[in-house]
Amino acid sequence: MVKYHITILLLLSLGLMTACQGDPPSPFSPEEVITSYSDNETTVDLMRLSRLNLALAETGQLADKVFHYTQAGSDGILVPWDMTAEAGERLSDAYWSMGHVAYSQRMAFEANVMDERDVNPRMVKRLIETNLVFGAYPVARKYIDILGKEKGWKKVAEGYRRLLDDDAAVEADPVLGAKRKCVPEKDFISLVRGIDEDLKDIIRFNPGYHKAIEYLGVIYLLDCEMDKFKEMLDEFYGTEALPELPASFAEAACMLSEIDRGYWKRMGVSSEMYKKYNDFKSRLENGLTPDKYKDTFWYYIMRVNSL
Amino acid sequence: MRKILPLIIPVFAAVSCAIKMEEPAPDTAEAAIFPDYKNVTVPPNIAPLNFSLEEGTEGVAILENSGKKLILKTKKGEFDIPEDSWREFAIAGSEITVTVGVKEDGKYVPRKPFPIFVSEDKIEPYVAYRLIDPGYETWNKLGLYQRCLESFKETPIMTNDKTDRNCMNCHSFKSRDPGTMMFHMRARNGGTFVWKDGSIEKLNTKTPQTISALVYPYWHPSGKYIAFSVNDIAQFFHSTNPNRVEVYDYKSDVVVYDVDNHQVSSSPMLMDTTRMETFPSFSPDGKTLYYCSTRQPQMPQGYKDVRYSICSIPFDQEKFSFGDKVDTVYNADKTGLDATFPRISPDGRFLLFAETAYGCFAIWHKDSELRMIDLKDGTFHTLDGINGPDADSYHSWSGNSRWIIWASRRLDGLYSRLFIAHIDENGKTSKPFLMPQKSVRHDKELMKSYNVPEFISGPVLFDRDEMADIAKNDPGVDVNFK
Repeated sequence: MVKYHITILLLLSLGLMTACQGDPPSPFSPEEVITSYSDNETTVDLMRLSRLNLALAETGQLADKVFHYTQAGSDGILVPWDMTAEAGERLSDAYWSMGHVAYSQRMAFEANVMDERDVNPRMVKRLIETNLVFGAYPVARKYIDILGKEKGWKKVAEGYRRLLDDDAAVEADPVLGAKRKCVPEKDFISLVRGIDEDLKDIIRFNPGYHKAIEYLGVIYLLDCEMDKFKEMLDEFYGTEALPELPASFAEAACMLSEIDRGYWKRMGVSSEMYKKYNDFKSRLENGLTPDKYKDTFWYYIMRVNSL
Repeated sequence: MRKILPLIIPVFAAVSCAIKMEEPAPDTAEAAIFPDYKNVTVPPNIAPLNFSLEEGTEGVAILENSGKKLILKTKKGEFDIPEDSWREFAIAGSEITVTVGVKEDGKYVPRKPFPIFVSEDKIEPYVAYRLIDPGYETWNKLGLYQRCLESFKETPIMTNDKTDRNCMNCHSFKSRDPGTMMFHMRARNGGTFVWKDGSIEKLNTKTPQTISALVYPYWHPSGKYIAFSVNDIAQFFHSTNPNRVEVYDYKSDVVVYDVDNHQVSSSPMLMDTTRMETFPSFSPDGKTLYYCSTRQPQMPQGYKDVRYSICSIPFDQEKFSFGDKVDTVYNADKTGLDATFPRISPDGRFLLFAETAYGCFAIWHKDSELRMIDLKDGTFHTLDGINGPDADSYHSWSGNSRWIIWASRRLDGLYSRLFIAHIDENGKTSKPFLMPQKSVRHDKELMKSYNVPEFISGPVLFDRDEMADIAKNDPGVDVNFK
């Protein structure tokens, strides 16, 4: 009888172990990530923060709401590459989201290599996606075969098989088609000039992919690179890439008006926003707490400057 | 022979009772199989050429040679040829005819028979290689391995699970001798390790006079010297280019290391500051040092302007000295292309190299192809029959100069696999074949690349634990510049 119970227990634990092998597809939706993240979190965990920022980007809220949460520079978008599987995953996700397909592929590869499991299914999925985007179908097929053998991933893998050797099908796929449009015709050396210059190339090539410019502006703001941010607005505002300014960009445009009078107006910022900026300034000047502006770029840069 | 033949016939009898297959019609389609072993030329001592059926779900394969017949049924879509039976069919100088039948509507429908040509020329029994993720920057589990080509047995030479997951690379043998070899470990426990006369020596090879520690090696046939490049290597990643990765040098020179005296030496012509010299190799008689040389453009911006020529310089092994005249064997200025990894056939007749549009690291260039120059008369061989649609690079010769093995990305565009081809005494090549595996799934599923294949005449036998112990605990011998 005891033997029987032990066997049952063993079988149960084996079953549990097997179920845990390989993450199930899409463990959390971006909305769930955002909901689970408290906007009162003051301790910064870059991995968690990068998930949050990714979720904001994927739901089209990055440039509007990035400063609703405690931020820690652009490391909260692109975590430092410490050659771990976890950092590789976060980076692959971020580059994928911003439309930098080649670097997303690179980091997916690194993450899979560094993973102690033989296969990191989520990163193999990314390798399938990126290779389909590039039209590298033979190696995409290899990865589809490999992913299909991972518990819980067969359906996902098979979903990609129909896209093999079919450019039209890849282009019609809502996700892959959008990413393919981000692959610039003219090759550049990734990241040698900095991620910002790569993003600019992606934006110029595919101005309709707004995530790229949201990332670009937010990275500048998180790193307080105001000159570069202004250059970005000067080039892209009013174009298809940036027809109007999201909240954080508008806030930054108000600040830029300190050195370029009337800049906020030229950038289409509302009078209401500019009034708020002046209120923020006067509170600071009068020694009042500007806490009601905690969710603005102004507050972020004030905090950074005080560090 | 007499003992085994009766074993084959009963197998045929047993299976033939169960199958019905008509004679193939003249216009019958070719069989869809993997690997493509149709019309290939193989050495008589190669392992069985197992293959899979890439059409239908069930099939039979009939192997025929010299009146013998072997009938195999697919197991999970694959034909697994028994090693002892294969030996009876792989007769030197003969031809095996293979007829594949695919099960359709309960019957085996024959496909067009194809030959496998068995050469009279044997091949080395072993090949050494590194298995590594064909990646960008990181590595995790990697190692140097040796594979018996006469069977499917693969054993580790050295793996990084014993040395704190460090990187190891650039294994090189003196004229395919498994008892005289070297390789590097990088990062933790770094150093160059020489296995010679039954002992292991660790070297610290960076000198004040050289750009870097020793990098790409080639043994002198005497075993007294090893030519190396020293390189300041970098890499970057493309955004759109299908080549993905660009590995390049900022600077490089060529030096020769004196194994017994722990000294490196060079020549002003091999350390020209206006040029980059790399990928050295000796002629089989040891009197000439071949290497690649290019003008030094501004890097990385000028990466597409890097075009290596193949040059040679006399080498005097008695005096450990170099000649003062450089010959250009392949002139990149004239071809407009780029040549790397010169390797001379052991009979001294042919110079085999990788040709690509530009750059240093041919294996990352999809246009990289193997080329050959007949050193007897200068004839240029394009080797069209052996090059594939993707990168072909890193090649080595068998001791009898009749076989070459190289790494090719032709199967999926990324994971390199080893291909072998026969080259006759006039430089004529036969259709290459993928190094056979026990299961063909191996090559499809393995997420590692085969890297730097080198024929060896037997297995490397140093003790891996002793090697690891030396790597971790031996301070190593400092190499000096002469």
